[in-house]
Amino acid sequence: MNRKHLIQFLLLGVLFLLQSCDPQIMDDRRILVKGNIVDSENNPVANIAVRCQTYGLVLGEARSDANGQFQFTSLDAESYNGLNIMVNMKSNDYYYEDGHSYDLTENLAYSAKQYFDNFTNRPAKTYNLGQIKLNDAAQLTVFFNNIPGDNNNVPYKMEYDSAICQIDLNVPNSEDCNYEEYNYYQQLDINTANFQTNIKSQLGSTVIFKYILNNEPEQTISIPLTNTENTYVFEY
Amino acid sequence: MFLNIKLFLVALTITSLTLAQETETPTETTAETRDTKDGGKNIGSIVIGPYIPFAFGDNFVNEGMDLKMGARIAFKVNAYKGIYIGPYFSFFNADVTNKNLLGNYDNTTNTVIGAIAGYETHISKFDLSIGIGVGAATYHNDGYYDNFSDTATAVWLNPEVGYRITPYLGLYFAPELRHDFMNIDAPAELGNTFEGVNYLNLSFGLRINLGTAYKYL
Repeated sequence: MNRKHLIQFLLLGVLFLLQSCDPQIMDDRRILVKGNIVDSENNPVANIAVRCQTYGLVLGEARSDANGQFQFTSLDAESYNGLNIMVNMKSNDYYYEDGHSYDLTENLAYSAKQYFDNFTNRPAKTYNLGQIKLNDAAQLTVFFNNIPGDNNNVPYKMEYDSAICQIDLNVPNSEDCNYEEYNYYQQLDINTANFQTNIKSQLGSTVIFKYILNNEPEQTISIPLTNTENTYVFEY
Repeated sequence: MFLNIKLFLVALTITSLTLAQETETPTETTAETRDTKDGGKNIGSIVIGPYIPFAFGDNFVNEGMDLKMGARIAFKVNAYKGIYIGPYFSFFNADVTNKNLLGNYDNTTNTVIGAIAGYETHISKFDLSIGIGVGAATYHNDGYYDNFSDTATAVWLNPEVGYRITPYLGLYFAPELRHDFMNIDAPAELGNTFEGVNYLNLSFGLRINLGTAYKYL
């Protein structure tokens, strides 16, 4: 094979790979999505967006009515593409949807839910999500203050309920809101300047703040989110 | 003996004259007379023209799409004593107006490729036919990011009236009662929304007659 043919072959191969990575809509297929959205006090919540997506491709969408109810027909993705039903989340143009970022929440007053079905041979069916409870959103601002004169080394990390909970549609009671912001410790030392960090979570949940002071055993602080705006000061 | 010979010769003469009379017919005929005896050859016809779809009933097309005009072409080949068969093609476009019911896509192009068969007769300058057709229907659907297809088997009843302006050129009008048996897999709760679509479509346009028979109809 001469160089010219080799280059053409490689270009075709690259084009083929790019094409095959795009999500594909299934031919001759429709699914039905329905449910009822309430807040933490079981009051119906209107105008919440519900979208059926696969890798950023919106297959169907609707908004809850005055009674919190919604129902819509959606297209379906090819079986090798997972299916996501996003409640109160922005339409995501990016393929990567496994995000807990609060920025993905559309109505900032409430939390969000992401249902997913990664079953490869799923039939055409109705996804009856039943009653979907969206808790009120809450924010925690943590101030990290470095006390002059102390030469402390403080690794830390935080665990809390994300603003976005994930549910596997094929596993009963699989709702998972737990989010560990970092799976490793962040470092605070004598050179760290004062800073603050904002955490978006759910009203009524608890933020677990873990730290290790100068190689001592790990300490845990529970910070309940009792208001929509909460603050905590950590001095070291 | 001589009387018999004379009678024989007279009889022979009379017979000869009679036979000569019978053979004295014109050897040259006009082309029209010759063709009238044959009737000409009817090959068939081609019809082509706009195609205006109208959906009706409880189905996703009628409840969720705005149908646009398309086109239709059919070739009717005269098979035997007025019975015809032939290929058929039609298409039309549509915009999705109810994404909540149909799913998130914007428009579709419907095509049908199939065959027709029927019977045609000719009265004065009119060509009247009734036929049935069957074909593969495809809804080529387009969305913002991607496209996909819905398929169906289409069957239709197709009466047609043609009017000959000249022996080989005329106009036609053909209403079409059509049903698409959809292959869409959908949950039972959606009922018969995606099971089938009913159409009453109208087509009219140009008819091209093929064969010499149309000169004498």
